[in-house]
Amino acid sequence: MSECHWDQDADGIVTVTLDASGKSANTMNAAWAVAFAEIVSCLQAAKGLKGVVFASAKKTFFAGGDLDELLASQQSAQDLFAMIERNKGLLREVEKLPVPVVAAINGAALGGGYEICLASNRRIVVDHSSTVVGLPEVTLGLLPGAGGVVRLTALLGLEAALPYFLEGTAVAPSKALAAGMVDEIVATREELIPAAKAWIRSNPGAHEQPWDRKSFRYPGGDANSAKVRNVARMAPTMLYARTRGLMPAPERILDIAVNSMRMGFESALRTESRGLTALLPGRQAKAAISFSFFAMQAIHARLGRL
Amino acid sequence: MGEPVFVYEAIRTPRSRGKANGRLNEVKPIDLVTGLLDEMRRRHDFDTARVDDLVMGCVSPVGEQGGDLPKIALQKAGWAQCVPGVQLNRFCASGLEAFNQAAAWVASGWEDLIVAGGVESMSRVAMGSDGGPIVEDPQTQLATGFVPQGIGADLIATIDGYDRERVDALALASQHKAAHAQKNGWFDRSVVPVRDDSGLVILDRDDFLKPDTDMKALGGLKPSFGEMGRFGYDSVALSKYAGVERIHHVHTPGNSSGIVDGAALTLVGNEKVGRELGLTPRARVISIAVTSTEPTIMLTGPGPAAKKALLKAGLKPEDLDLIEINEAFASGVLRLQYDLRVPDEKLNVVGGAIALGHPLGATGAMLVGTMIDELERRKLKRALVCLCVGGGMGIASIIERV
Repeated sequence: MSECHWDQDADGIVTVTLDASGKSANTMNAAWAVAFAEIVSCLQAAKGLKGVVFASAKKTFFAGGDLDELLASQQSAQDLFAMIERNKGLLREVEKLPVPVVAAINGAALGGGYEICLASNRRIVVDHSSTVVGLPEVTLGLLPGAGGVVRLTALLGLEAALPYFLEGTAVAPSKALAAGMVDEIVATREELIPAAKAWIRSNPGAHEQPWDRKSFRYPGGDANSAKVRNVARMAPTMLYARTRGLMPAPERILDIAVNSMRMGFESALRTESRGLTALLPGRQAKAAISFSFFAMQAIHARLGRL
Repeated sequence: MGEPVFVYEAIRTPRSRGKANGRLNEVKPIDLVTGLLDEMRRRHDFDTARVDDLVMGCVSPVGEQGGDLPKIALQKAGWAQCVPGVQLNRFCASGLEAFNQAAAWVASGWEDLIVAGGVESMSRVAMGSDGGPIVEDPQTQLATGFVPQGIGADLIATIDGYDRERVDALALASQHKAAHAQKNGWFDRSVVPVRDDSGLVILDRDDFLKPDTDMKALGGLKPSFGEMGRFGYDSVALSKYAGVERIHHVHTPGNSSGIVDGAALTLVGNEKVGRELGLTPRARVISIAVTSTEPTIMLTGPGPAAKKALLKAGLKPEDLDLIEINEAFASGVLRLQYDLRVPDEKLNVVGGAIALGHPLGATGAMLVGTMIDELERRKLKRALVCLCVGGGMGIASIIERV
């Protein structure tokens, strides 16, 4: 496995260290998809498995989608949808493992990276100035298509979750902890994996996600609660006042977040995939990726050399 | 009757399990409708400004299905802004009620062209979520002798002597007929695939069917309403049926209609508008009827409604070539068959809601489409569509192939 390392300790806890070959950061690209599919089937087959820790060998945890790949993509809607569903399906498989899964977040976990964390049962983050979590897809004219919209809505509740995927803000550890986006902060990188393993050992049964429990209720109210209905009523207008209807990505994100609460979890994940499939070929997304990411990256690089 | 009324089109979505794991669970109720509105326009390329109204049934018109959904669907689908829309509710008759009201308006001469149908996403807006005094006001419930439909269905079976094997056999026949029809493409003209915003197909065929079931599997299912009956509903029902010693609970999920999601639309108009828009009439509406019978047993309305429609049309049951009764529960079908003395080969010829599902507000309009398709395919003349309805009501329509 050239993209990640596998280490099973004496307690039966497997640490999967993501380490994209030839890249400075882990991204959710084609090579990752192949490697991660293999990891998932190994985890499903692993004897004596007691828990899983996702870690990273890079400075950052995981950078999200591979923008080069996305920008160059000429795939048909059918193929895009299938690809998104495949990647998302892998995270769903992780979520359904019969053991606790912990994300050991050693650095920035953005987009797809944070979506891996959301599919884990616990998120432990290192307290470092460069560590942030978040779903910045909207700034690229896209939406979090690996379960981010659906899971963050379920984790935080609609109203609390909306700013994170509508504005794409990257959140520092202490704020993320206060918001409920992560569960625990450790001071140094060295403490990260021990903390993850300690949690697994003391919570061996904690493998079920809140949203997979029959008793699940959305924090802040279910779809039919007066509060959530009010958000559904007001949010579109508030969004329009800011975007004047010119930005399809936040509109779709809002619609998917609200509607994710009105259907089954698997159905909601599929609508999220359909939303990203619809956004990806759009001019707005291509322009935003070219400008907001690649052009800004070039500008920063130039500024850095001055 | 006034102006002759023609049916120019009848389309529907496929039907899928009305639960979180159903394939249409991810589709908003309004989008079930806009998809059909798009298809109606695509098939006939007419100026939508010519449509006088969109009339749609919906039995739980709250939340995502509330707020006069038909009018909003027209806006969302980009139809001319002069087209109004209205939602109605006559319980399970709603889809046919919409069709019948459209027919009546056109017959009156006061409107020319109406789109009529229904929608129900039972997976997203659960049955009963609209409440109502019959179920949620104690005084009203006690005064009216309310029992759930299934208890009424079991009471019919008890009174008429339909045992478990009889109702299961009807269910099995429904499954076989529906599977045969689907396999041979008989639903293909009417069923419009549901697509997402990228044009990808979400579902293109009915998928509730269980073609491989058999009498053994059906016989193994637990009666749905036994517990409810013991809970107290049996005694409420029997207070009106003193001659019945006890209710035999024979209905199960296997011989009752399936809970599904779906929508349907028909295009109903007079001859002139059809000529002007270049539409080809497929059927003519001969008569419509609605009535009501004893409300506690609840499901005995179709026979009297059918007889009323036949009387209006000056026809006898034997003048009908095909008869479609909504398979809400097997016993209701058998009661109607007895009431009209319908031979098996004319009754529910492509199966029914037991196999395909019953998206409450849409079903009536779906059945109109089914009958038009079958009249055309079998080159027959006349069909009757009827449904049992809450409150003891019954509804019927008679159509003739053009």
